[in-house]
Amino acid sequence: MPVLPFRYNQSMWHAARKWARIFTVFAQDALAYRAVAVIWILTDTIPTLVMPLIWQASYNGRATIGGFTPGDMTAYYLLVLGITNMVQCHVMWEIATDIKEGRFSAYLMRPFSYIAMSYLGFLAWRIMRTLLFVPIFLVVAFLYRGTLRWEDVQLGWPFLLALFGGHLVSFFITYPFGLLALYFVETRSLFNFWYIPVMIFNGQIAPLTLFPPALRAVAEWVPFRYTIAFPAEVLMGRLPPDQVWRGLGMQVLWIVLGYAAGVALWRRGLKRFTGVGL
Amino acid sequence: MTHPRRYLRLYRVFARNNVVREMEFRGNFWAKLLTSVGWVAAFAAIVKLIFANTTAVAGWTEGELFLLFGTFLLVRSLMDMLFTQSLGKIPELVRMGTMDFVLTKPVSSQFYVSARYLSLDEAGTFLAAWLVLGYAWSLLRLPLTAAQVGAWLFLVACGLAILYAINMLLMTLAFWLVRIDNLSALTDTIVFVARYPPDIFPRYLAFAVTYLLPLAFVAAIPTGALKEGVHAATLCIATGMAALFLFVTSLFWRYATRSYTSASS
Repeated sequence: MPVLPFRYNQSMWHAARKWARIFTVFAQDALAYRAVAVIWILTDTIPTLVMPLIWQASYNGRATIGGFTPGDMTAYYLLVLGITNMVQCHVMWEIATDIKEGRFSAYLMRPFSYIAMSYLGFLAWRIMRTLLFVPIFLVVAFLYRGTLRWEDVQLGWPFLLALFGGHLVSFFITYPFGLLALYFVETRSLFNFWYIPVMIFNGQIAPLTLFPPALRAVAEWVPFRYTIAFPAEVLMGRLPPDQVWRGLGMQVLWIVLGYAAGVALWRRGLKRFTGVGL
Repeated sequence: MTHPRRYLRLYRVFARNNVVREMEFRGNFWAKLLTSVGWVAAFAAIVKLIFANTTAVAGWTEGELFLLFGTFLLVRSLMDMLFTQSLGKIPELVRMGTMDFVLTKPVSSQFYVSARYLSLDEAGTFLAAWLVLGYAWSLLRLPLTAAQVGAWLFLVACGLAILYAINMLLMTLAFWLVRIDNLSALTDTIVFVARYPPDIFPRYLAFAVTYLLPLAFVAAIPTGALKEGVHAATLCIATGMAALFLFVTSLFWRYATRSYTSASS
């Protein structure tokens, strides 16, 4: 007789295999569409790489802007770009398409949770994007070598925690937002609008320390800062330990809030959902 | 059907059809309008943020940068209202094999894929462009001459032609990149480079965005007419570039459609 209850053991094994299989399917999907992934990477890369050029042209002989030397500034955008590839979540489009085209009903019949499916799809794409981004990162770092300064970069546990936290925050705020497709017929404009606060507050546009105090105060409390800007600030060694702890705490808070919102929107939304496309 | 009057009539039918369609989705129309204005406000906020930390970007002052941004918005909103939606459908036409129906229609296929759909819901950006231009003018208080404004309008028209050509060239790639369904996102991203002063780029990139992929002609060169005055040489080069790129676009389109073998066969 095994020490552990056999059934329990089997079901754990069974679940792990099930999720591994689903992940493999998503990974194959991401692999099949790698050209598409390269284009999505470029759509993040091009605007983010113009910004350091703008700042370089703005120093006009000064040593720093908002505490950033020209070298720090270029490093900031490059690191943000790398983090974006690992973190930034766009699952709301998939959720809306699932719902609009009736695939959602099929998912409801299957024996696995929709949120876990959604997360595995997101994870597979992020891994694919990160791998494809490595060569692009090297080329860009080479091209920008003249104005790049890495000295302050701290690749330690605080950064890895903040990075994984950012990855989860991005998913757990985007997922409930995507579930709004259960409530509205047309979501395209709403989703496009979403990217405005995302872009401003997640640090892709500019280091948040350059913001005027009022906007910076807003950034402290909205979830977007904790997706990309916060791990980037930790990585560049810009935050004192108490700020790092506070940031990690905010990440946990937003993950919990996002999950709760997801559950609530799911329960109420399913009652309204009538299965379009069946 | 080569007579221009017949094309004009056809275009009127397309336009009417679009207005009717748009009226059916009024909620969407207003949502789109609001989103466009939101994006303009967001970029204006970025410009404000930059100038909260500096007084000049590569020699461009805040007013001049807003002038550039307003000009860019004007050209891009015209592009989006007139052509972008139609061109955006090219990859789908190729993938689904419905390009066959376009090619067999008794009209120029380039005209059809360029002008079939109008997007009136892009009017928000068009209106916002004038607001941005007004704001730029209030910062600069330039003494403008009629010749400058005339040259600016002419260069804006050339910019629109060049922007159309760039967009069309990129979307025509769909004949070979059949599986790529986000080509228009790439086009959008590239086009957005035109809202920055070309002077910020290193020399080789500045050359590339002026002559190879002439994004500088979309907004920066028209803005120059207001900022620095009218130069006959600039007007000539812009006209030449617009003509050249329209010609190349049409050649490339013909080459692409000739080598197209249909998805269904």
